[in-house]
Amino acid sequence: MIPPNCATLKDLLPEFVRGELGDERRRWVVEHVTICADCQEEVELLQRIGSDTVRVPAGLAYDIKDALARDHASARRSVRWRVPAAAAVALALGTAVVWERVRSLPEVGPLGREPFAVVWPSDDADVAGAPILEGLSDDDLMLLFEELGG
Amino acid sequence: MAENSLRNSLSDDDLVRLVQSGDRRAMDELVDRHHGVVFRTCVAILNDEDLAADASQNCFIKAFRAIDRFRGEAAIRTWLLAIAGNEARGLLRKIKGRREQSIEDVVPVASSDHDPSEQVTLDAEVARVRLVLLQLPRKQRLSVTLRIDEGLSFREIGEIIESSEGAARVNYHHGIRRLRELLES
Repeated sequence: MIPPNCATLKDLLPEFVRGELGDERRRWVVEHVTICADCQEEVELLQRIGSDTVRVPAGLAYDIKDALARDHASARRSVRWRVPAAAAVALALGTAVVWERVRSLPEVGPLGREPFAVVWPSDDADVAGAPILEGLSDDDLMLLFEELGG
Repeated sequence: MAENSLRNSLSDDDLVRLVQSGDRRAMDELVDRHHGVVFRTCVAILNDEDLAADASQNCFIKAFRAIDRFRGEAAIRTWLLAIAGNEARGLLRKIKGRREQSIEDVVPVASSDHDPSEQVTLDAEVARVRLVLLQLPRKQRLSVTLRIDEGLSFREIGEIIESSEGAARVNYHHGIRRLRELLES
C-alpha cells in the first residue's frame, strides 16, 4: 500500500504518539517524520501535551456506582408507590363513571307508580286507530275494508 | 469472581445488552471501563475536577436511565461522551450564569492528587503548553485535548463539541497550528 500524503499522515500523529498504530502505519509515520520537519515538530508538541494528562480521582468509579445504586433504589421506591396510587385513581374514576351512567339511565318507575303506563297505551281508541280513520273518505274506507278482507 | 472475569472479557455491546436485561453488575463494568474518559472529557470542558466529577456522575445516571433507548448505532463510549459533553456544557452554563465568568478566564486546575511539591517540580515546558492551550477557542482546545489525551476519533469529538466530523478535524488542525504559533511567539 502507498503511504498517504503529509496531510493524511497528520491525522495519524495522535495515535502514533500514543503508540496505538499498527506496524505498517507506524512505519509510514516514522519514515515521513525523518524527512518532514513540520510533522516532526508536531509530534514533539503532541508528546508534550500528552505527557500531562489529567489523573482520574481514585474513588470516582466507586462514587458513580454508588450514585447509580441509589438512583436505582429510588426509582424502584417510586414504582412501588405509583402502582397503588394508580390503582386508587383508576378505582375512583371507575366509580365516578358508573355512578354517572346510573344517574343518566331513564327512570323505569319505582314500585308503587305505574310501571307499564309508558309502554301500554290505555286508550282503546288509539289501538283501534280511530284518529287515522277519521280523515278518510267513504271510498277510501271501502278500499281499506276490501284490502282487510272484509 | 469467575462471573467478574467473564464480564471483563465481554464486549461493550454485550454488556449493554446485559444492562438492558437488568444486569446491574454489567453496568458497573461499563462504569469501570469508561469513567476515565468521561471524567477527562468533562475536565476538558469545565476546567474543574470537582465539577467534572459531578458531571461524570450525572452522565452515567442519565445514560443508564435511558439505556433501553440505546440502539447501538454508535459505540456506547461515543454515546456516553455525547451525554458527558451535554452535561458538562449544561453545568458550565449554570456556572456562567451564576458567576458571569467565562470558562476561558478560569486558570488551569491542578489535579487534586498532586501535592504542592509535585506541582513545583512539574515540567515547566509541559505546564507552559497546557497554559497556552487554554488560550485556544473552546472547540479548538477540546478537539486538541480529546484527540491527544483520549485518542478520540473526529466523529466522537464532533459529537462532544456539537459539530460534524469534518468540523472537528478542522478545529483540531487549526488548534495545533495556533498552539505552535503561540508557543513560538
